[in-house]
Amino acid sequence: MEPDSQLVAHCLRGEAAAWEELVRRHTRRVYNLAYRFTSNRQEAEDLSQEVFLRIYRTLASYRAVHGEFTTWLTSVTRNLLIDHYRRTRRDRLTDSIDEEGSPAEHKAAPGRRPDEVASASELSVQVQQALGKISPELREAVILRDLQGLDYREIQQVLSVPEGTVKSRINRGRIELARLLTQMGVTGDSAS
Amino acid sequence: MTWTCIHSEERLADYLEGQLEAGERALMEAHLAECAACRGLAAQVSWISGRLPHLPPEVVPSGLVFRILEATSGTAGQKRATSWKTVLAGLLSPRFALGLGTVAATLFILSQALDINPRKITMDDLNPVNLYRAADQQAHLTYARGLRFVNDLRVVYEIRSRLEEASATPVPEQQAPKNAPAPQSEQKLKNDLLRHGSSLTAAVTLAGLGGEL
Ligand SMILES: [Zn+2]
Repeated sequence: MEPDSQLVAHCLRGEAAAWEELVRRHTRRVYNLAYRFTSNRQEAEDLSQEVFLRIYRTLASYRAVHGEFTTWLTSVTRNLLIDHYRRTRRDRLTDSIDEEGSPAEHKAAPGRRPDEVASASELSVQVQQALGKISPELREAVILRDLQGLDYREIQQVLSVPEGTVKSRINRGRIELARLLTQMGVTGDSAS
Repeated sequence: MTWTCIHSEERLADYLEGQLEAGERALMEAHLAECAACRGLAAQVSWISGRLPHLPPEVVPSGLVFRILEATSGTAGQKRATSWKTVLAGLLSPRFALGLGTVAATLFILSQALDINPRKITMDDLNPVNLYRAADQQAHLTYARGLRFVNDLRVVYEIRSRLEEASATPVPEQQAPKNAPAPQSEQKLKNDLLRHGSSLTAAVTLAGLGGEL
């Protein structure tokens, strides 16, 4: 498989097929990050388009020496997510009063007996509900580390904060997530 | 120092990842041995952070890659040509109506770049193929203008792809009742086309006026 930096070089020479390959390769990553952060499929889709539009326009400014293409792509995605978060903050505050804080897309998970085994997709929905309730700072740290698999150094680049801050946000994010899941009756005991 | 629940929380990730040095680890383990709350939390955090990396990824909506390509390089749409009948049919969709302002603005920019009079705009002027040809014939088209044109053409392609999407999905409200004779529904469609056609012209005219102000 051709490395991303090679594909970028082809894109800059005007090869449409290279751009198409780049988009195909990374749409899932961008869409998943956006969906995990917003909990909304339509918003995630719109944001993914926005991300690639920005990448397309600024592709010439990407330099492989500054890091992996995925790190750059993740930074662009993350910045747009934060812009979007700030832009829609007011609407969301109003919404959450109406809906008593529950994310619009997910109904409360039906109660499960502790001995029932949680399937991965069931857990995925429950994690999404819990993620929506933690602060965006902690949320993005957990998503980048545990769902997108970035290492500390990459997250440091994406968030432009020191390593200590990255570590502490991931730690606090996991703890909040764990507590929320416990409150929802979703625990390791019930799924093991 | 006294090792409290707060210390346990702060050092939890490091502890679970085996990053604590011996002294801290001993304090941590002594605390966990006597504090059920921290023990429970450590177990839960350990469990969920082990599960997170293996959660199934969300399925990318069908057509998203295509829409991204259309909105950027425009390459995904080049193989298809669309007649203006299809485009006008798409104008009937509510989704498109919202974008009419953008369309008007684009048409205005295009008409400026190509010396098309927005008040006398014809359907052929709007056909992407003809837009391309017209641009070709403009010998004085500068590079910057060309760039802007390509960007606007991209918007046109994006509009087309949305229209095609809209026309591919039948809208139940637009279907004639079962017992209604076919010619009647055809007449209705014609009327709709006329109505929307004139509102498009109005939008274009407005855009033209806006540019003169
Ligand atoms: Zn404790």
